[in-house]
Amino acid sequence: MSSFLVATRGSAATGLACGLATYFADKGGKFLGITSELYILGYVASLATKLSDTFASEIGKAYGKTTFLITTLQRVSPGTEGAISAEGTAASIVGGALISLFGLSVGFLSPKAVPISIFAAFVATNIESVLGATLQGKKNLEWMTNEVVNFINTLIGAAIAIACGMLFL
Amino acid sequence: MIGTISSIGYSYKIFTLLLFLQVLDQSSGFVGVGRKATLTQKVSNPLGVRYQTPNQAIIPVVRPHSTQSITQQTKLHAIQSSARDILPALTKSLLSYGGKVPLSQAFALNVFLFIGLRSKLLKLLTNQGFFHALALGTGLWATLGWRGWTTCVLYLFLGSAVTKVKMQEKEKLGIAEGRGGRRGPENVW
Repeated sequence: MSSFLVATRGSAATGLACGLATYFADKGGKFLGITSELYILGYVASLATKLSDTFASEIGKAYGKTTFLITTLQRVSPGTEGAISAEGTAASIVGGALISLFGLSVGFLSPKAVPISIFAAFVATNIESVLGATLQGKKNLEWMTNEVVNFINTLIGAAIAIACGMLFL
Repeated sequence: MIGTISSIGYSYKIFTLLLFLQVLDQSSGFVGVGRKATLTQKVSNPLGVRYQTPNQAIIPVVRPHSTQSITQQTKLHAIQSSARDILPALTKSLLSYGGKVPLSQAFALNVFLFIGLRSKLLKLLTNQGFFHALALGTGLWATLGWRGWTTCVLYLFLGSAVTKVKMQEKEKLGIAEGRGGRRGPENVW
């Protein structure tokens, strides 16, 4: 039943994977050709993605005036998988920014890495809505539960952040 | 349910204390072999000459009149200097930048933190979720240190806060998170 609800649930597997990669890379070193700083960026971005997603759906459900499907732009009732709203979208940026700025304040992120983390979280959250609208709850895709979508979501967030970090940092 | 966790928390405290002692024993010679050599040195210095231990701890002048007072003073010094050793070791683990905190220390720290925060955390997590979060917290502290840990806890607190926004309205519409937003193991991982 929960797969029919827009549920925002934690998925720390990506975060822990980034943590382990940071550990293996050692401070200032590399693991699989990626520096420890980028893995830390991936870690912060994965949590930023989670909070961005949580903010988007929870604020969307609470304050969203018009909600529509991200794929067809059809008007749907709040709480539908893949539904987006202006209020939720604005909240998703706030959610991503809160974690990213915390990362900056504890010295995890450099000032230049903060927008990358926020951007990655925002894009990943919208990809999650697309996944929710197209794949989740479909026949033959029962394994595509909310938790699986969330894991993919955080993975995408971390990957976008690391890729952008490689290009721009 | 919270009562169950509290009683578990008590046995946890004892276990953590033992674990801490073991960790400190290994890292700073708190009660173990590492300190014994220094103790012997102190006893073989009965004239009370000032000297420095390997970790720069200044031993106050001792002017013993009997063998008993040597033992007492030595015990006191052992406690004083071991206290001096523990603090840097603990601070190092607590504030370690790049993570790399030994797993046992990370676990011990997390048990303490989770016991301290348990009344708050159990509002956000189910009982099972609590223990899964403890495992996650240990992993994060060991690999990323306190920054990684606090970032994740911030996510948990903010995420839970926003889930509770207009909870009654969401419940009426049937689109609220189950269990009043408390997270179980499947939400932690």
